[in-house]
Parts: sequence; C-alpha cells; structure tokens
Amino acid sequence: MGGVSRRGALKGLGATLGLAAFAKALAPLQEFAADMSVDEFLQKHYRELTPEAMKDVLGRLERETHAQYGAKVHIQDVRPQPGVKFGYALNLSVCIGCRKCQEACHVENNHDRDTNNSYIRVLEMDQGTLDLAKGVVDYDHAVPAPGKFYLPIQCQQCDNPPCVKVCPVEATWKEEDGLVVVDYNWCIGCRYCEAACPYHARRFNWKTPTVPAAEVNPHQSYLSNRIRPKGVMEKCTFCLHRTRKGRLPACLEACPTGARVFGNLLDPDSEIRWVLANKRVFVLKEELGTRPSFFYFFDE
Amino acid sequence: MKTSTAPIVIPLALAAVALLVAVLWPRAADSPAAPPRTESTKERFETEIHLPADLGTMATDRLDSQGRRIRVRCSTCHGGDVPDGGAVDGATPVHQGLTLAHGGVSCLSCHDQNNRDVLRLADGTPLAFAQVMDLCRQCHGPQSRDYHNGSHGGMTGHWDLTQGPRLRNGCVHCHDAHAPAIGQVQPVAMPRDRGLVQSMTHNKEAH
Ligand code: HEC
Ligand code: HEC
Ligand code: HEC
Ligand code: HEC
Repeated sequence: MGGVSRRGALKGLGATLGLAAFAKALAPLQEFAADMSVDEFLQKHYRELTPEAMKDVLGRLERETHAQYGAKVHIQDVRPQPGVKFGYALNLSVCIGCRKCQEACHVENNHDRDTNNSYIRVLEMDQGTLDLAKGVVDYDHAVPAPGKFYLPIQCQQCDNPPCVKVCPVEATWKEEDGLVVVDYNWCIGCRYCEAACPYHARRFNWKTPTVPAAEVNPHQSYLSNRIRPKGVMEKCTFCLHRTRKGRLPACLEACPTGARVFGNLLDPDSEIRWVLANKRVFVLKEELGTRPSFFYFFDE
Repeated sequence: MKTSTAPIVIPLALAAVALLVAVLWPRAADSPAAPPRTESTKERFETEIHLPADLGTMATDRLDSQGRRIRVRCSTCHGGDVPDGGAVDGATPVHQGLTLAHGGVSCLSCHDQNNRDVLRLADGTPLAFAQVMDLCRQCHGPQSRDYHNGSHGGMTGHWDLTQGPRLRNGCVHCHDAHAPAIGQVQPVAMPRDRGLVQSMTHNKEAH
C-alpha cells in the first residue's frame, strides 16, 4: 500500500484543496465518520488483511447487517479463480430495452430501494447513432419503440481503468480476473473515481441504503453485494460472488432476450471467445484507451 | 412472449456505424499468458434445453377438474374424423385463433401432411415435436449457430460447466412458431434517483 493511509490522505487533500473546498468535499464523509465504529476505523486495507483478520471483519459485518437490517446474511471473501479473466458481450440487435437486467442487479446487489438504484443503466438511442450522451435513461413507454435501439451500460471492467488511477487512497483496484473492485471500508467517498469514469458506471451512496429485511439477498461477499455503508462508492463487479464460483451474473440470467454473453476470455472454447472471433465487436469510447472487458455487437 | 404487429427492424444504418467503430479485438493474442487451466480434463455438467411439456398438443374448450383447458393430440382429429391432406387454407374454425405471420411459409412446410403428430423437414423427413429446433435450424442457420455457441437465446446457471449445469430455453419459448417476431413489452421501473438521470443530462452539456 506504499504507506498510504486513509487518515494521511485526508490531510493531503486538505493541503491542496483549501479549507472551504476541503470541508465541502468531506461533507458526506463527516457524517459517515460519525457513525463509524472504532474497529471499522482501525480496519486495515483489504489486501493487508490476514485470513484471520478477514474472518473477524466478515463476522463483524454480518453482525452489523443483522443489527441494522434485521437480516441474517452470510458474507464471504470470494477470491479470483486462477486462469480466469472475465469478459462480457452484449448483442444490441437483440436487446429490447426492457430493463430486466437493471432490476435483477437491483435485487441481487442489495441496492437502495428508495432510489431503485442499479449498476446498470439502459440508454434508449436513435437508430444509426452511437452518441452515449444522447442516450435517454428515463424512457417510459412500450419497448422496443420504433426507430430506437437500447444500450445497457455497466462497469466495463477496463484493463486501463481511469477510476483506479485517481483514487487517492487505493480503495479501488483491479483484480487478477480483471474485475475492478472497491473496499467499501477503505473508501473515503471523495468521488474522484465517479468523475473519472467515462461510462458513468460508479455510484455514490448519498444515504444509508434501505432494504427491507425480507428482501435482503443474504448471499453476500465483501467486495461485491454486501450492503454498502453511506458515503462510499460502489460499482458493478460482474456479480463476483456468483461468477467466481462459476455461475452467471444476475443480469445475464434475467435477460429475456438472450442478448448477454459472459465467460472466460482466457478459455479459447468459451462463448465469449466465440463472440469475439465471430462477431464484429466494438467497445465504447475506444479512443480513450480504457480497454474495456465489455464488448458490444450487432448481428449482421 | 406476446406477439405484436410492430416487429423490431434491425437497424441497418446502425450496423454501418458499428462497422466504423468496430475493433476486432486485437488483444486476444497478446493477453498475459495464464496458467493452463487444469479443469479442461474435468467432467463437464449438462446443458439442458427447456421445451414446453405440452408441445405438439392442442388446447380445447373443455376444462379439467382444476379449470385448465384440456389439451389433445393432433391425431385426435387428424387422420380420423379429419382426413389429412384436405383443405389447406387456414380457414377451419378449429384453428381459427391461429394467425400465421412467418415469412410466407405455409402450414405444411412445418407440419407433416400425413401425420399431424409430427413436424416435417423440407425434404419430407418426419420430425418429432421435441426436435423442433432442428426445424428452425434448416431455415435459420445463423441464429441456430449463434444459439449453439451461446450468443443467442440466453441461459441460466453456470458459465463454467466444470462447476455446474446450465439451463437454456428452446427457440419456441421466446418465438411463437406461427408469429415469431418478438413483440413490444412495458419496461420495468426506471431508476428513481433524479441525480442519476441528471448526471446524464449534465454530461450532454459537457460534450
Ligand atoms: C379438434 C380437432 C382438431 C385437432 C385436435 C387438431 N386439428 Fe388441425 N385441423 C382440424 C380441422 C377440422 C382442419 C381442417 C380440415 C383439414 O385441413 O383437413 C384442420 C386443419 C389443420 C391443418 C391444415 C391447415 C388448414 O387450416 O387447413 C394443419 C396444418 C393442422 N390442422 C395442424 C394441426 C396440428 C399440428 C394439431 C395438433 C397440435 C391439430 N391440427 C389438431 C381439426 C383439428
Ligand atoms: C414455421 C413452421 C410452422 C408453420 C408454418 C406452422 N406451424 Fe403450427 N406449429 C409449429 C410448431 C413448431 C409447433 C409447436 C410449437 C408450439 O406449440 O409452440 C406448432 C404448433 C401448432 C399447433 C398446436 C399449438 C397451437 O398453437 O394450438 C397447431 C394447432 C398448429 N401448429 C397448426 C398450424 C396451422 C393450422 C398452420 C398453418 C396455418 C401452422 N400450424 C403453421 C410450426 C409451424
Ligand atoms: C421453412 C422455412 C422456415 C422454418 C422451418 C422456420 N422459419 Fe422462421 N422465418 C422463415 C422466413 C422465410 C422468415 C422471414 C424472413 C424475413 O422476413 O427476412 C422467417 C422469420 C423468422 C423470424 C423473424 C420474425 C420477424 O418478423 O422478426 C423469427 C424470429 C423466426 N423466423 C423464428 C423461427 C423459429 C423459432 C422457427 C422454428 C420453430 C422457424 N422460424 C422456422 C422461414 C422459416
Ligand atoms: C431467450 C429468448 C430467445 C430464444 C430462446 C431464441 N431467440 Fe431468437 N430472438 C430473440 C430476440 C429477442 C430476437 C430479436 C428481436 C426480433 O428480431 O424479433 C430474436 C431474433 C431472432 C431472429 C430474427 C433475426 C432477424 O434478423 O430478424 C431469428 C430468425 C431467430 N431469433 C431465431 C431463433 C432460433 C432459430 C432460436 C433457437 C435456436 C432462437 N431464435 C431462440 C430471442 C430469442
């Protein structure tokens, strides 16, 4: 971790931003720091935790979730599988814009019910265009609408992720299987990563998420769908609590049109490699050099 | 899925845009050498393809004890009371509710003239209803190829078949054989986070 600490970084931030800007930048953080336990504040960075320390942390988080949400959950630390690098592809000829993927993400990842938050956003676009900025998120009519096509966007798990570079405390990083993850307990909520992401794939927890006990998905992992505290960033992890155990991501399973293809880029016999070899795939905003692991294609 | 009169037109112009921005994934070759996966020798779980259980039967007006419509085999009428090879005009009251909107193909391109309990291939070979996907394949090569390579038709279960099985829907789960275009649906709720929607709007200005 090169000696980077949360507290140290906060000082550094103050020095460069000036006092007023500093206070403003920290406004969400202050609130969350207030209801933080001492154990939580003293917890080490994810990658410095020994297996025993991790066990303690997971136990603590399970107890806290129970106390706060009334739900009995099981939080695991699910690690990458050797020889696996995840890739995702989406067939834009087939997607009808029904938002079922967005909904499945909402449920699977214990998102805040009030905001109907999700890591997926479906853009309604005019046929013949590919300008993401013109995409409409809040369409509300029968789909597919004539003259439109639909482009779901989530974290592209870039090989050259701008969000990781700007994090002042290394609370977000790229794992061996290509997934960009966040240590919610290390994140200071400065939101630099949110601004850096060209795909608007990161979300900030402005409030403590509300999830009724009966609706909490109890199968959780530290780096993915455990309920996030207020004041931290979160993002799509390709459902690593499922995919690192060989299962398909929730958004893929929910797709009624079969537009989504997921698999191991390092396995030449995988479905994802078949798509890359046989379809004319493209990535979003290629010119930025982010090198996404998420591909799009049209049937010819 | 429901059918409707508004089929999706695959955007040709869009495909052209896609062509322009296409990258043919240059990184496959130079991605870091991974440790060889030992799993390749492991046993693989099954991929099960789900087909409707009542395939090849027809609903009647009569209800069973639980109020469900009783389904009968085609041969209940055909080959007996209804001689096969009779009028082929779709006008029979029995099949009145059935609209055929499938690229101009006729009933007997798919249904066997002499035995309505089976389908038929283009060369006349009878085909069990359970083999319906072979029927689709003879006219829809590209989609069938895509399907068998996991990029059409979706799936649930495991991406890694060494760790668990997979379940897939057959073609007729999503496509009505008689009117196969996918109809319109109402999307599920949009995100209610105003900030989220505004951030897109905001970015419109920034560009
Ligand atoms: C309740 C009796 C009945 C049942 C059950 C029935 N049919 Fe028919 N069907 C008819 C009649 C009557 C006709 C019109 C006479 C003819 O074409 O020989 C007909 C005609 C047809 C035709 C020719 C198209 C046309 O309109 O002339 C096809 C194809 C057909 N049926 C398929 C089937 C299939 C497949 C099934 C089973 C899934 C089935 N039918 C079940 C009564 C039935
Ligand atoms: C493209 C091939 C194809 C054509 C053309 C076709 N069918 Fe079918 N039909 C099928 C298949 C496949 C099934 C079974 C799948 C299912 O039931 O969803 C079926 C099922 C049926 C059934 C039983 C299910 C139901 O909907 O009641 C009837 C009756 C039937 N066909 C009659 C006809 C008649 C009459 C015509 C012409 C007007 C016709 N079919 C044209 C492929 C075809
Ligand atoms: C005898 C040949 C034949 C068979 C068998 C056949 N189709 Fe088709 N299908 C066609 C033709 C022709 C069209 C129209 C193509 C066009 O308009 O370009 C079509 C169109 C379609 C479409 C596009 C519909 C639209 O309007 O968007 C779908 C989906 C489809 N078929 C699915 C199926 C499925 C599923 C089966 C198997 C149950 C099947 N077809 C069997 C000939 C066939
Ligand atoms: C999970 C649902 C699903 C399954 C299963 C599925 N399809 Fe499709 N299919 C779609 C959707 C969605 C579209 C795009 C919408 C449309 O064109 O109507 C599509 C499009 C098509 C088209 C039209 C393509 C075009 O360019 O117009 C054909 C033909 C087709 N499918 C054939 C098949 C065949 C054959 C199978 C089985 C091997 C199959 N589909 C299985 C959902 C499905």
